[in-house]
Amino acid sequence: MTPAIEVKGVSKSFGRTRALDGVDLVVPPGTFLGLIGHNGAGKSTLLELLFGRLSPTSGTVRVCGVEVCAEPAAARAVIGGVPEEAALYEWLTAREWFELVAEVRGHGNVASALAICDLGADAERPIREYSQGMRRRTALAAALLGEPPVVLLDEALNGLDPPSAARIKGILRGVVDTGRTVVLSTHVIETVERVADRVVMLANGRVVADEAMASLGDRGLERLFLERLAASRA
Amino acid sequence: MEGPWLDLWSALGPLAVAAALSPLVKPVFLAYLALPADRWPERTEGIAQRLVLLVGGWMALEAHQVVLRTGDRAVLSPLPVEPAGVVAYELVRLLVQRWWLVPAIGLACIPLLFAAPDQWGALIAVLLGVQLGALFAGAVGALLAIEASENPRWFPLLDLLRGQNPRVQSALLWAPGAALAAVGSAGMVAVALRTGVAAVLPAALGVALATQIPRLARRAWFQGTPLLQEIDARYAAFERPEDARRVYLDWAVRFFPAATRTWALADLRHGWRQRRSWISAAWVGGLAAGLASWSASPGSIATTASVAAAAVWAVGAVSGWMDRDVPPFTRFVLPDRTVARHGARALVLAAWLQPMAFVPALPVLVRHGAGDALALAGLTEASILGAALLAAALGRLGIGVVGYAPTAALAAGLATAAGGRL
Repeated sequence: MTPAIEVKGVSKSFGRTRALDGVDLVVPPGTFLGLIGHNGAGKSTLLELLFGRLSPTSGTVRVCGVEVCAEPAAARAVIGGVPEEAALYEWLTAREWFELVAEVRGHGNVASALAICDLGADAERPIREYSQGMRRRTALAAALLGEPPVVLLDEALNGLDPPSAARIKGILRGVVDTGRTVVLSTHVIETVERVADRVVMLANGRVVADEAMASLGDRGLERLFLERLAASRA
Repeated sequence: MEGPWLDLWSALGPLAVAAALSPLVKPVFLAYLALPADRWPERTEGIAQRLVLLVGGWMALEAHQVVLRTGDRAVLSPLPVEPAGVVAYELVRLLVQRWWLVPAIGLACIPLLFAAPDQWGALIAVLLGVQLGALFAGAVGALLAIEASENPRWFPLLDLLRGQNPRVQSALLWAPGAALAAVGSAGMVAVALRTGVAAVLPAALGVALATQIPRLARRAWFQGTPLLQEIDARYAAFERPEDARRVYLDWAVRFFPAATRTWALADLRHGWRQRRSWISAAWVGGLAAGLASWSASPGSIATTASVAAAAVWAVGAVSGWMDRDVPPFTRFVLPDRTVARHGARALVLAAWLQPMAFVPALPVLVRHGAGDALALAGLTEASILGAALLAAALGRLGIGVVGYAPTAALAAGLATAAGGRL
């Protein structure tokens, strides 16, 4: 079966700064992958590479068998997501934005996106009037439109109030249950513990842990994180 | 008001300014209309050549910009959009936003219309062609530059051209110039041939280039996003932390007294990071004045002096806008009316305005000799001194923009008149 995500020997440098160093990662379809790491560990760089918003210095990045750099248009057809700084057309309403995204993707259920973002009557107001949480929900719902096989979320649950966050986690879990893949990068370990099947931990641009959540047992993710981080700095 | 009507409405401002400037254009740029009519075509050709470069450069730069860096890229590039459609939309929108450019030039040159309608018509026809040609050439240049930036075959050439810039940026830096060279050459040929058919040359070149845009956009538009991210990241990850704090001309203040140096550095950083377009405009003004001087005609020195003086007084307004950047609360709790603070502002302004003195002086030195170059530089320096002192003094009084605009307009008029006597 073609992996949902295949990252082979990927390094990324910015001048003398090495953001990623020889990262290998294979994620099968139907996985909820939690990506955690300290500030500057390389989480956002890895997601930007998966989005095709950065090119690797070396190595290859494939999503659903499509090499992201070589075939950017085909890659975007199989990827939905919320980058670290999601840009939206401020003068559109959420409904109009969903209609635009559905049009671009060639299909997509706008009513379902409206239900996911749960904006009620606010869905008819321009996005420029939204709070940060409302924008996040709008971007998240748009990322799921058209049911892309791979959904990439960079700190996408930040700024959501607890009920919204809980509801969105449930929705994302449902997405994975339909055989699609979700990658969630976050600082919040509890979120990963609650929803992810698998966790990948980055430290200083390297993968220092790649574990199934079920294998963690009583150790807990926070303890694993601190142990591996200390080991990587030793 | 939204949509295309907003663009139509917003064009009224530039058109009104152009119409208001037309009485000034005649003595400065169209003074040759006082000569016998058989000498007009040659002079009109000179004006047309300069305007070809102005319109071509403007549109090539803006087309480059809309293909590479617009808000649309941030919103649309994560989606599976049709890149050819996005580029076409950006170019049409730019054309709608800038439809007034050639009509405004036509309005400013209205004395030529009354004196020689055929020459005015030929000028406008060529400029319209150049505008269209540069639009498409700028877009093609930007898309080709994205491809070249990632193609190892081009790396040796890019390394030769890049100077201190990252290699990934090299092709992008040169692309608008290459587009201008192509369309500008077509425009120059059209101007030189002085026939109706030749006027379509720049437009024909543009249309030929436009046919390549869909194919190029599909190959390169998406790749522009990682390329721009790479360039931005290179600048964010400066190799030496102190480089990030460097600003234009900060070396010039090291010999100032300590109190003045502190304020001068604050102003240099403020201007460079917040009002950079104004500071860059000093170089554009210098180049525009220099362009006017590149002629053997004795009258060209007067034209140069007038353009330089007007540009100095216009760019000097940056001081007022910098005053406006400072929040009222800060002005209230940290008032500083010392000579060091406002003297530093005058010194910084004078430093920023220098390109308008020495850039045009160089071609005058080459074409007309040292005496004329010194006279020109002296007159421009007087304008610089006046503008810097006035702006700093008005800033101290708290009436920067409001006070500067009318005074500067008057001073620019006087300086222009003085320049006309050179």
